[in-house]
Amino acid sequence: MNKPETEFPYQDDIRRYACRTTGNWADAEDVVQETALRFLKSPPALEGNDLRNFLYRIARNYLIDMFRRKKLAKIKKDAEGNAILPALTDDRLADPAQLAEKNEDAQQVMKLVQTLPPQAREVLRLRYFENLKTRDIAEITGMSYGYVRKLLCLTLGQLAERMGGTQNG
Amino acid sequence: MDENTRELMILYALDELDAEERAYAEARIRQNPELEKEVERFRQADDLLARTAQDTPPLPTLMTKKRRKSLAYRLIRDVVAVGVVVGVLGMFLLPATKYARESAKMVFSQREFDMALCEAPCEALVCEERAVPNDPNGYTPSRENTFQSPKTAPFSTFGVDVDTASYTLMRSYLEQYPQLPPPESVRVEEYVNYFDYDLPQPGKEDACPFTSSVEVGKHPWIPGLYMAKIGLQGRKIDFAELPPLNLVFLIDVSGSMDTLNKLPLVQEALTGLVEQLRPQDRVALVTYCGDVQVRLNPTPGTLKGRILGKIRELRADGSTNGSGGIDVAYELARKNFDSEAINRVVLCSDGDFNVGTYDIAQLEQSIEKYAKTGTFLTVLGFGMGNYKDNRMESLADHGNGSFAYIDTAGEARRVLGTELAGTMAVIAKDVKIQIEFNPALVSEYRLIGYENRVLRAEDFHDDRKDAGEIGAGHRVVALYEIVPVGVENPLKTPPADAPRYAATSETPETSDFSNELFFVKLRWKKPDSDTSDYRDFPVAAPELKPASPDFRFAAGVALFAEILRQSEYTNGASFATVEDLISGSDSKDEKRAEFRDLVKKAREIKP
Repeated sequence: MNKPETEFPYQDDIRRYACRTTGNWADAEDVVQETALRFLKSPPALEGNDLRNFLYRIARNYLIDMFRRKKLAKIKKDAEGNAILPALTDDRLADPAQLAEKNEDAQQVMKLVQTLPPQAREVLRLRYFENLKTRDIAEITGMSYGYVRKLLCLTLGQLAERMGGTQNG
Repeated sequence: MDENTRELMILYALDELDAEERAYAEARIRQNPELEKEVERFRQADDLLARTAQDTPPLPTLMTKKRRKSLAYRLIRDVVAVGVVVGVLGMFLLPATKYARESAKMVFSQREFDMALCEAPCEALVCEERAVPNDPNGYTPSRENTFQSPKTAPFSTFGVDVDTASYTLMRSYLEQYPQLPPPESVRVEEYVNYFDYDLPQPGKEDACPFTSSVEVGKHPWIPGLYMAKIGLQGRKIDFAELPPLNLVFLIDVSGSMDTLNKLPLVQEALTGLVEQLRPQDRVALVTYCGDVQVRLNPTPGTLKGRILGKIRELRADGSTNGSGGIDVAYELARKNFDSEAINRVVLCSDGDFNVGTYDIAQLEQSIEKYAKTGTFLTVLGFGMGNYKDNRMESLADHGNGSFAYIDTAGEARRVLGTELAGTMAVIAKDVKIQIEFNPALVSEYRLIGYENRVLRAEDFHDDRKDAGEIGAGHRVVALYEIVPVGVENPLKTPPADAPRYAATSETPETSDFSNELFFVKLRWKKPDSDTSDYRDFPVAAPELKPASPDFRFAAGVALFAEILRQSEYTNGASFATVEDLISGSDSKDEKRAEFRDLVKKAREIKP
C-alpha cells in the first residue's frame, strides 16, 4: 500500500467509471492512477464540466489503450474513426446472480442492451451509469452531439417497443 | 409517426432538447395530442434504464465502492493533515514534498511511455469559442419611414420585395414560444406580401409579365387621411410549364444545424421538392461545414431514389465555412449552366458562418458577381437561436434571389411545393417603383415598410442599380398613408422649417394635373435582359369611399406589423383594430384564417 496517493478532482467519478468498464479493481485503479498522472503533469486550464469531461476522456483513452494491449476485446471503430469501447458492463450485468433478485423488466433491459451496437452501449453506460449529459458524452467519446442523440433514440425507441410488446403479449 | 417525429418525442421525453427545440416539440404535441402517449412510453423506458443502472453495483466483487471510498478518504484525510503540518512548519519541508512528487513521476514513467505509444486523441478537446452577441438572431433594425412633404421630396422610390421570411418568423414566435417577435425582426412589407390579394391577373399575351393596380380609399383607422394600395401581380406559371431546373443545393451541415428544427426540416423540405422533379430537371448537393463536399453531382429528375438517398444521409457536424461552400456551389451551377434553364443555388442554413476570416461584404460582392452570370440564389433560413436574419436577407438580395424562412413542415411544403414555381422562376427582375405625389393635393405621404428597399430618386432610371425580383405568381403590395391638403395630420412630427429661398409661387396651378393625386412609374427588366422596360400611369384623386375588404385586410396586416415593431405611427391602434380590419375578408382563404388566429394569439399575449 505504499503507492503514492495522488489527488485530482472528480476522482470518484473516474474510479467508478473505470470499475464499471473494466470490471475489476486492479485495472480500474490503473486507470485512476494514469488519469491522475496525466492530470498532474499538465493540469489543463479547465474547470467544472469541461474539466470532468477532459478527465473522462483521458480515462477513456487509457481504457482503449488498455484493452488494446490486453487484447481483451477487439477495438472497433465507428464511422468517424473513433475507437469504441467494448461494453464489458453488459456481460457482468447479464450475470444471473446479479440479476436474480431484480425484476423481469431489468433482465429484459439487459437482453436488449446486448443486442445494441457497441456505440449505443457506450452512450447508454455514460448516460445512465455515469449520469452524464448528452453534450458531455459527445465531448468525451468524440462522437458528434447529433450522433449521440441518434443512438439514444435508437435505444429508447427499441426499448419502448419491447415494453409495449410485453404489455400487449 | 415518422422517424423525425419519433426522435423528437424521444428526446423530448428524455429532456434532451434545448429551449428552442422543446418549444417546437410542444407545438407538435399540441397539434397532435396522440404524441403525448408516445412521450409517456419513452419516459417509462428511460425510467426503467435509470432504475436498472441504479440497482447494479459498479463491481461484481465484494469490495464495494463505498468501502474503497472510505479507504481513499482516510488517505486523503492523512494527506490533508500532512499538508496542514507542512504549512505550519514553513518552507524548509518544501524540497522534501517536491522530491516525493518527483519519485511519484518515476514510478509511472514506464506507463507514461506506454501512453505516448498510443495515439489517444486527448488533446482534441478544444472547446469551440464563439462570441455571443447581445442579439444572437442578428436582426438589423431599420429606421421607420417618416412622413414626407411632396414639396421637399416629391418622389418616393423603392425596389420590390417578395420575401416572406419576416412573417414566418413571427408565426413561429407566436406559435412555438409563444411570445411576440422582436420588434426589429418585423419587416412590414414581408407581412403584407405573404398573402394573396384580389389583383388582376396578367394575360398570357401581355408584354408586361405583371399587372399593376392602384386603389385609394379612406385611411382605415385614422380619420381624414387616405390610404393608397399599389399592387403588382406577377404572371402565374404552372410547375409543369417551367423551363428545366438546374439546381444546386448548398446545405449547411455545421454543428449549429444539429437541432431538430433545422437539418431534419431541410431534409423534409428537399424531399418534398425532389418528389416533384421532372425528367429534365437536375439537382446537385453540396454540403459545407469545416470543409466543402460535393455529395451529389448534378443528377436528373429520373433518379429520384438516388437524390433522396443522398438527402437522407445528411448529418450535421463540425464548424462552418460558409463562403467556401458558396463558391463551390456556384462553380457546379456554372459547369451545368443552361441558358434555357432556371439556374439556381439554393442555400439552406441558419446563416451562422462562424469559421475563418470571412468578410460579409466580400461574400456579398462575389454573390453579386455570380448573379450577373445568370445563376440566382435562393436562401432558405432555418431555426432560431443563432439564426442570422440580416445576413441571410442581404445575401439573397445580392444574389438576385428570394429569401424564405422555414419554420414548419407546412411552410416547407408551401415554399418548395405549392409555390415552387414562384420560388424558382423569376418573371421580372430589378423591379422599381417610383411615385410622384402632387403637392397641390397631398400635403404629406408615408410609405409603410420597405425601409431597407428605399432607393434614391435618381436610382430609378439607373439600370445598374439592383432591386428586387418578382417570381411567378408573386405579388407585391405597397401601402401609402396620405395626408390630403387641408387636413391636420394627427401623427405629425414637428415640421422642418419651410425653405427660406424656395420660390413662393413654386406650385404652378396647372389645371392639367389638378385632379391627379400621384403618378406611378414602374421599371423592370426581363430575367435575361440588362435594360429595363418602363411604364407609367397617373392616379386620380379618389371619390371618398371606404376601402374594399381586400384593401382593409392588407391594411390590417400592415397595422399588425406596425404594432409589433412598435411603430410611432399607429395612432394608438391596437390588435383589436387589426381584428376589426381583417374581419370582413374571405374566410375560406387558409392563410388569412391562420392570420386571424395569430392576431388572436398576439392579443392574448399583449392585450
